[in-house]
Amino acid sequence: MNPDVIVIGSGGGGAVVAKELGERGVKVLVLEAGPWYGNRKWPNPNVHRGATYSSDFADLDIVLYKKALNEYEDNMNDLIAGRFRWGPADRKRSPWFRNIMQKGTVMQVAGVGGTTLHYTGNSPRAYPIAIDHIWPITYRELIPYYEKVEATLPVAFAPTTAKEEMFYYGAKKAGWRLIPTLNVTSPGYRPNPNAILPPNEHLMNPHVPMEQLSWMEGCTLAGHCINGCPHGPSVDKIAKRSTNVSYVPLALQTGNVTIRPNAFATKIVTESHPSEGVRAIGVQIRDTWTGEVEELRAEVVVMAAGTIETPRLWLNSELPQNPWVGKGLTNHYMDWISGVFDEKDLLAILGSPDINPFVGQNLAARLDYPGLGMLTSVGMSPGLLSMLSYGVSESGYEFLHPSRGHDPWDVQGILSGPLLKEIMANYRKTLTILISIHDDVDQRNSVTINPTVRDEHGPVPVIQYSPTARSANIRRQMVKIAAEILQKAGAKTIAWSNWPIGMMFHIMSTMRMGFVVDDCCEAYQVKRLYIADNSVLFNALGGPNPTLTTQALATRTAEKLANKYFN
Amino acid sequence: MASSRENPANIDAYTRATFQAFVDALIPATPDLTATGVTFGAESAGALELLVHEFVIQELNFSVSPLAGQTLLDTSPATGAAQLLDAAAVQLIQSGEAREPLDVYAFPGGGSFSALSRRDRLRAVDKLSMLDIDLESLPPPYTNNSAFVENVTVMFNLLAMFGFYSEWSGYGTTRFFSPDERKVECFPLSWIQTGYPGRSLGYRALRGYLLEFPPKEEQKR
Ligand SMILES: Cc1cc2nc3c(=O)[nH]c(=O)nc-3n(C[C@H](O)[C@H](O)[C@H](O)COP(=O)(O)OP(=O)(O)OC[C@H]3O[C@@H](n4cnc5c(N)ncnc54)[C@H](O)[C@@H]3O)c2cc1C
Repeated sequence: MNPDVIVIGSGGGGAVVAKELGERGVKVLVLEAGPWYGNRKWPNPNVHRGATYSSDFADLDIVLYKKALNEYEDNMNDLIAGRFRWGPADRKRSPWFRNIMQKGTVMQVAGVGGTTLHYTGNSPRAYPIAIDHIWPITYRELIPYYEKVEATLPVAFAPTTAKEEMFYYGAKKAGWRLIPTLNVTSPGYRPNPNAILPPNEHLMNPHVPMEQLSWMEGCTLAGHCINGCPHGPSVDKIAKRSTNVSYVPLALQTGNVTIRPNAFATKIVTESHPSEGVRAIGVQIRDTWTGEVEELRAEVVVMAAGTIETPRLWLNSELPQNPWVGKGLTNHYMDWISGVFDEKDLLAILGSPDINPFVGQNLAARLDYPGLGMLTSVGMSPGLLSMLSYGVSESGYEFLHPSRGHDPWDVQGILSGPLLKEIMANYRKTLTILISIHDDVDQRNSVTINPTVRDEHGPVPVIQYSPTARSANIRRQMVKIAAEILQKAGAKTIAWSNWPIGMMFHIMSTMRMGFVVDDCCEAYQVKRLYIADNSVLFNALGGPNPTLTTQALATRTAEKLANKYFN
Repeated sequence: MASSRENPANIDAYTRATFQAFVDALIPATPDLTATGVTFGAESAGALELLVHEFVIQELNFSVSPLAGQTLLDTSPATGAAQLLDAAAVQLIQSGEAREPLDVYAFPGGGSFSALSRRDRLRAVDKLSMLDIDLESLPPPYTNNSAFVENVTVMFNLLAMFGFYSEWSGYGTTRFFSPDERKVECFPLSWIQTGYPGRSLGYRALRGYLLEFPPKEEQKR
């Protein structure tokens, strides 16, 4: 097969480019470093190499998919050996190493679907004030692409379960108003626009068994978004719209897209062309099972390997120097805070004694604050929730570094001993809030390489992040707003995590538009080389979850690319 | 049986004792917690009873890619991390910050760290995570490498909590099989403690919708 375009990475952005180009009749080969779950060419994707390619929609297999995504959090989410990890398909091997220079953890997934395999589907648009007069393009220009992605995924406002009701109750009591909009220009609360199919109309009908509902279309409120959603009648109708169940099936249906998992791109191959200058002509890959190295050719190459691996690939390919390659990393400088409620208060507000954080879409209610950032309610399975709430902190152990008494929270930092056991015994009465702020782009925050620390794919990325004073100040303000929502809702114990600076879930802006790529997302210094992942974002969007914006841009990039090279 | 992961029988006594001491300090058994009004019934088990130290050791040994230049050392990563905890314990003791008496019989086979009281063990870990420590005297690969020290310390807490509160302890006799060959054999005691009902196909928990999509305002445009 001789593809017109090679796309590197099949995650949030790559799958979108593939589908959009395929629909325009462009032949696409997608190279993906990780495994493919739910495809009959890889019946045991973590154990055997399986086939090399799949380009057939009919290869998608819902039974295999449900078998792989078995909802157990250690099996799925374990950072080191879970199905959703940054590592090779073969789980008998270690994950891929990254050199992380500050406390925290970098969460990315290798596999068809990329990090959207375990993302929670939140799909808000950026705040207009973070785009207009700042980005090389306007918010208005993005709107039609937002609309297209929202219709394709599709996106809907999250349904209300107990934890969202508590969040809305607290937000309202704290004086915030409902903002019924997608284009957020003033602060307020609203349901998360989620890339999750709305609940099936029979969900509340006790005569339709749950087993049957889990094979029907629509969210079952099972609460396993982050563990990997297996609910739906076929792979392309799974409730949570990771790209492997949304854009990938659509791409395959075009008949023009082939996907090759277990293929790690190690080098962008270029040549010097008399009129175009340096231009991309292919990609070198390494098979993650056999170690075999191959070179593949195409007219155009699109990098969509994510915010860490795209700059790593550029640097390891020794592409032209650019002071902004790998620079300007943002991650929303996140934080986390939890409230534990009394049964009598919950009975009064909810009519039930528990919040049950394991029920419903994981992140389903939000407060937006253009200029500062966003908050969203969180609930999930207890292994993840305990470690993220009480297991990681800049402040150290609570008993050694207690809160100062006048803080709007009762405890802070890492909990241990009887206090941890007791707070987790109240897991069912706990509401958690994620804080995600508009952090500054700072050239010192970066992905670089150190030639002496290598793995089988070359020098590994070195990841460096430290918030600016302004970002730290915003985070403090947003933590207070979150604490107040919990307090107004009646929380009896408020526990502030004080996350360390390196908690990287939303990783962005290391190959920025206007610096590394032009406003069509083609590299300034390498023709026929495009970027279509979170790394091209100009900034942190004001705080909202990034994937929808990356997908809108990827849609636009595919259009520009096709018009330029395949018209 | 193909298994790249450690058989518990192969963990040396020193590494085992050190991580037993750590998980026991972070998530102890709590027989008297019922006194605070929380009902555990018989389920007061802590991380030690659930063998979470084995999880932490297994994960540490599995986490570092051998090609990244760190395993040129002759100890396993978990043993190296245990030595790090001991180095912190020694500094805690020498600086007079250990508050309670040592008990060298608490975890046979262990070093200074496992002789500390529960709270003092966490004090030693805290010194590491705050980098309140003489970095030069730490064992390799941690010598003068503050990023490694901080990151492995983050992992200690994350792994212990995730091992305890996830389904891991339920893997029982299959816990050291390769991930695809494990079976959940029993309902984890920690899930009984938290009231988590386990995996689910769904819940009839819909309370309605706050907004329709797309919102009215958008439809008018
Ligand atoms: C727990 C969690 C929850 C999240 N929830 C949300 C949410 O609700 N909403 C939201 O907007 N965002 C969320 N995010 C962030 C979201 O996952 C990312 O924004 C999104 O996946 C980014 O898309 P991407 O294309 O940049 O990278 P990825 O999705 O990471 O895709 C990159 C792909 O490239 C592959 N790859 C990398 N290097 C190579 C190589 N050299 N060769 C071949 N393939 C390669 C990777 O294996 C991967 O599949 C969440 C993240 C986490 C960790």
